[in-house]
Amino acid sequence: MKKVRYILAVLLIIQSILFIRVVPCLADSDAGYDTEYEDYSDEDYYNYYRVDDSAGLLSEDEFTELDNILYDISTGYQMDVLIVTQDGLDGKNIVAAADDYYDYYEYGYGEDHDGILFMIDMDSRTWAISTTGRGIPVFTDSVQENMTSRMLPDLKDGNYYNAFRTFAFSCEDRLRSWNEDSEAGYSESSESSGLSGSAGIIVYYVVPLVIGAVLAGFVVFFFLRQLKSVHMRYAAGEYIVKNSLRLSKRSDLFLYSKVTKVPKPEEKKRGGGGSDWSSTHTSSSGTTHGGSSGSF
Amino acid sequence: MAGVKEYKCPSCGASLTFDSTLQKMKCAYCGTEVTVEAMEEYNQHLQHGESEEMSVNMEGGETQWTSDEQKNIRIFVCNSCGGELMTDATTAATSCPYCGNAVVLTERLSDSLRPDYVIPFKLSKENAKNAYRDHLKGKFLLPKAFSDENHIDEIKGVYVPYWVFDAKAEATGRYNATKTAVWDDSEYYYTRTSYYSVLRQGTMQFEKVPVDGSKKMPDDLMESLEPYSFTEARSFKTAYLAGYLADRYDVSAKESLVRANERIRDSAEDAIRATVRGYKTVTEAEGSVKFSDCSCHYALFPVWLLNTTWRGKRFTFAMNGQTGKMVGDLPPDTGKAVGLQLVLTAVFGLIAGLIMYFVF
Repeated sequence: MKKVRYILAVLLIIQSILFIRVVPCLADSDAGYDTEYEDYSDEDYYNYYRVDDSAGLLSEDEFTELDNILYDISTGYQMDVLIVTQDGLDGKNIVAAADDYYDYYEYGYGEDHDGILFMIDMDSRTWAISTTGRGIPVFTDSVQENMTSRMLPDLKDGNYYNAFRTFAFSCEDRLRSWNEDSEAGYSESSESSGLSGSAGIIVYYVVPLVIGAVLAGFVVFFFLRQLKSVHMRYAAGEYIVKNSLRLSKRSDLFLYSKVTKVPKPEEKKRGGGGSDWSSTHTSSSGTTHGGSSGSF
Repeated sequence: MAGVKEYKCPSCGASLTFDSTLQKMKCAYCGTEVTVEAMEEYNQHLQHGESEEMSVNMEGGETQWTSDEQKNIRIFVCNSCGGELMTDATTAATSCPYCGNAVVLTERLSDSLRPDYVIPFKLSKENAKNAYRDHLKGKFLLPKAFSDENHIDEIKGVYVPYWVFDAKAEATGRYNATKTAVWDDSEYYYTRTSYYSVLRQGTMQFEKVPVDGSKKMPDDLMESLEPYSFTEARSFKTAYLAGYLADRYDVSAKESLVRANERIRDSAEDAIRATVRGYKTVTEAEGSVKFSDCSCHYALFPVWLLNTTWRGKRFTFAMNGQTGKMVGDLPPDTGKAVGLQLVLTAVFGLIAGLIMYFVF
């Protein structure tokens, strides 16, 4: 009976220790968006067209299809992805035009107006990308270059619908891999910091348990070894008559040698073009945008 | 092609040929170069590979009992475990120190050999009891019930028969050793590894290497009691037996020799190996030990013995009657061990968990 009580006491101690750990996780960690427009639901607020076909390059079906795709991507990743076609910019530079368009219509998710806009002007045959907020670090210069170089053949050939689809899906791919790579980094903006999901469970519970068990094992092993004192003796060292060792033969013979060499690592210089960062500029409204431009 | 020696490359084993431009032996396969003198001497190193078995000229252990002595010896027999115990005429033995059952006095004279030496008991039964109590102290996972149950009075002083061996050992070792040097210049890091063949041969003297001569005494228990200091050994006299029981040997000297061989060989190899110094790496390529001038004697060593049964298992404790060293494996309290493991896992786990939480 005494043993049973003992075991129960041990289990009780363990239970209470584990409970202390679990409690913090029960706190609610939902952080919604900072919405100024509290009378609109999120769904209503973000329900607008993401394609502006002023240049008339798309059929009605193509327009709808594209808009749906952009809606899905934008709401799924909380990043506004927009396509604008123009026929004449009134002399404005296309980069400025893209920035202003985005700012004027207040596109973008969240406080920082996260989003990316692709504008094409048929009059000057130029295009521009404008990124804002989170869109800036996500769509780096090299990512943009990659996307636009794949769109360029279609733009040149007049297959605008294809080019725009390429744009949309490239953005989606980039957003997906960005999310996978930096789950931890992004959680800071919208959720309480720390790992969540299956990674969290492993790091917070499984690993400490394993470490605990291993350390406990060492201690227990030490105490168990205390109990053992019987073992066969190794060799007969104590029975050598002191100083009775006499060497009769002694030869240290050099045979051959080999030299190996390892080259020293060179100092690598940092590359220029195609770098993995985003250049930025400020638009007329004072907002910082990233982006690129070109002609077709 | 009689008389043509074959020279094998010490690095890869292919055949070496003499390179006239270099005036050295060179290996066509791996490019290693060795001087002619070095190769000659290396071949001599390679010839030290023979080993011989230990030949023992068994001196000693041949003495017989005198008739006077025979009158003074009593033999008791345990019918349960077959133990034969010897003591002097003044001592009455009642129970067997091994199995606890009653022993019977026989009329048989000892047809075994007379011991040459005996290390007399230096420590008393009281010392033994205290040593046993100390042995149980401070063992966290020892079940409390074990230390509570008290069989201490049943401690018995027994002389355990040993064969002790003197031998001269000649050990030979051939080793492959390396030294390294490192340096660098603006372009590379260089490492030069120099390969050596090292040969050592030497003799050393072993004295009174003990091997347990009783089948009933577990060898590992007896070896754990070592070392006994042989300087305190005396020539055997029956008077030493008074008050104690002496076990009779049932392992022959020849059989014990195997174990002595093993231990002496290990020590000789170690001693020789220790003389190879100054290298970065040393590995043994070949080694052998030869024995000569062997003799063995029959000796009695003092042991305080306690047998205990606990939960159906038998535990034997022994104390070296000369030095006081106490040995004997103790049972673990499994419940306590499991409890300790669980509690510590929780404690360490909690600490580790908190650390993880703050780090990530």
